[in-house]
Amino acid sequence: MFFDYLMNGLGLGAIFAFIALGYTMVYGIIKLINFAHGEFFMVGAYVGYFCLRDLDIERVGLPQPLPILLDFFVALWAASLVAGLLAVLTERVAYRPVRKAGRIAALLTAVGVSLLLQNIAVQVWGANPRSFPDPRVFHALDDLEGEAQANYYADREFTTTQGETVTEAVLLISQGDVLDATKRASIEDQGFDEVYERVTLSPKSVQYFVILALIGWTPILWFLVKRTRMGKAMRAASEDADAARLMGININLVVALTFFVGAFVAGVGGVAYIATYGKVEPMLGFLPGLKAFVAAVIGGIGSIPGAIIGGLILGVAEAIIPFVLQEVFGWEEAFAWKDAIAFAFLIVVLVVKPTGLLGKPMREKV
Amino acid sequence: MLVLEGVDVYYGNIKALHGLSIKVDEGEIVTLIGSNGAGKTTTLRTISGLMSPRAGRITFQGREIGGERAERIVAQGIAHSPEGRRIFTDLTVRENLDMGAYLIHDKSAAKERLERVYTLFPRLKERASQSGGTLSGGEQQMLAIGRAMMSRPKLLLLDEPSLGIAPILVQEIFREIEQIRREDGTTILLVEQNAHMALKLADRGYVIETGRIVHEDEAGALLDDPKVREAYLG
Repeated sequence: MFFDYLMNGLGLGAIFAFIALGYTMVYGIIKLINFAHGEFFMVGAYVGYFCLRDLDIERVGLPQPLPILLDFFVALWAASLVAGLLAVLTERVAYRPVRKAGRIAALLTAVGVSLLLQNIAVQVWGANPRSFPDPRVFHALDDLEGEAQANYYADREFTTTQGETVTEAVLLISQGDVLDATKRASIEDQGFDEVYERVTLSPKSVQYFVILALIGWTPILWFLVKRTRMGKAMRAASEDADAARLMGININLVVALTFFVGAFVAGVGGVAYIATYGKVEPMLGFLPGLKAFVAAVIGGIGSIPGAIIGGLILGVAEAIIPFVLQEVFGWEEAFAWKDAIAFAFLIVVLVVKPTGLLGKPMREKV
Repeated sequence: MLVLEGVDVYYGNIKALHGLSIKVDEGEIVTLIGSNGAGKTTTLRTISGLMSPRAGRITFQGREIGGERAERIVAQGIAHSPEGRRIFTDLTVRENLDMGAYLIHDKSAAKERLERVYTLFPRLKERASQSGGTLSGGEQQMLAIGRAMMSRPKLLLLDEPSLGIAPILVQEIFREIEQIRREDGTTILLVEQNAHMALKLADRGYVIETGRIVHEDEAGALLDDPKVREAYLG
């Protein structure tokens, strides 16, 4: 039980960390709290949603679990690239023109961009949440059987290459589950031309994947920032932009690249979110974005390891503290207060260590 | 090599340079002396492209560079070791030097530059893996000059290399500046408040007051000039 909550917390924390990385990298380089960063995450989640819903790599007929992994592979790349390019475009159109106008102007621009992207998402994808698996398409099997069952099916028509119209039932099955033969028969009995099984990852295995993904990304980012020429240029520019320009570093390019990398990683977080929680909506970026910002501040804004640690700590705190309050202290409503607990946690950290866990003390300009 | 003609530079609405004209010939060490706020640093920042002139011309090797972006100007062979050193304190000494060679894509050429800078400043080699922020003021100044030298500049702009540094290290740094001119053939424009040391090192000098050149001469003549002695040499 406790272990489940811990895993929930780590999975959630890994998602916070993926978002917090972009916050902290952008802040590090242009001292901008990019409030639109949560929207890059939201767009990534939508792209991930469409990929996971429509890719259907199973049709190729590869042995499991290759199709699921390929689904995720494509979803991750697509979501990350779209989020990254959107961030580069946003920076070019909205932030670069106001970069010299002061931090308040840039901050207000970021709030404006955030609202703009949310509303564009409403226009393009509708205001209603979408779920994966979609309950309007995939009916829970218990509709048929009258008993609880985590599998889903959908019926749909498609036209074959010979021009025949075929109806098929798609059975969504959590990985590791075996579909009961009588249930399968009950669907086949409804007169579909074809019945095919599509395996999905269970939320629990998704959590493992998300945590593994974070573990995998950490050395990649470390290498990118510490070892590559561009990474060194990023660190140089974040410390002293004028001095960096004197080295021949093109600040605009470095800033654009920072936005790209930050949003690319947020796209990973977006896919992780849709795979774990199965729901996307246009306002999705707001609360996780805000909490990821909190995570970045807890870790020490501007610090890349800080963002990862801050994200994980916040995720675990959000899962474990209400759990303890409920189980140990008997406070039944503890989980309803989990957002308040997250922000209270921020206040405590800031009181104890104002620069965050790994933040550097503010240097006075000499 | 470098010619500034009638250059006006503003901070917002405040005019910092009033029709400034100076020139630096190939192989020279030229110094710009003057008191605090006279416009010495502004002059260097304008040459290296951190600031844009509102009027006048800046030509380098016959090519107009006034108002070009800083990152383009360094590519043409002007390196700027800025006031206050401005080294990257979070980067190691070696990484700082790598940044100085940012535009050198040929690895063996960059390595050759690194060896040269290590020869000029052996202390930097000893401290290669230390972060820049842990260096003493004098070592940071060496790093700033070494970093500028990494790009193999034709013209080196030095802003107050003696500022806030122990006198014994100042001597050493000035010897190394002389060595850079002699051995690398680098032309140097040196801005200094320490007018005595600057004039002893330089071939020619300009005296700047409130954004205007008020005096120019051979460095030796400026050292002997009673007005200069009174105002800047105490």
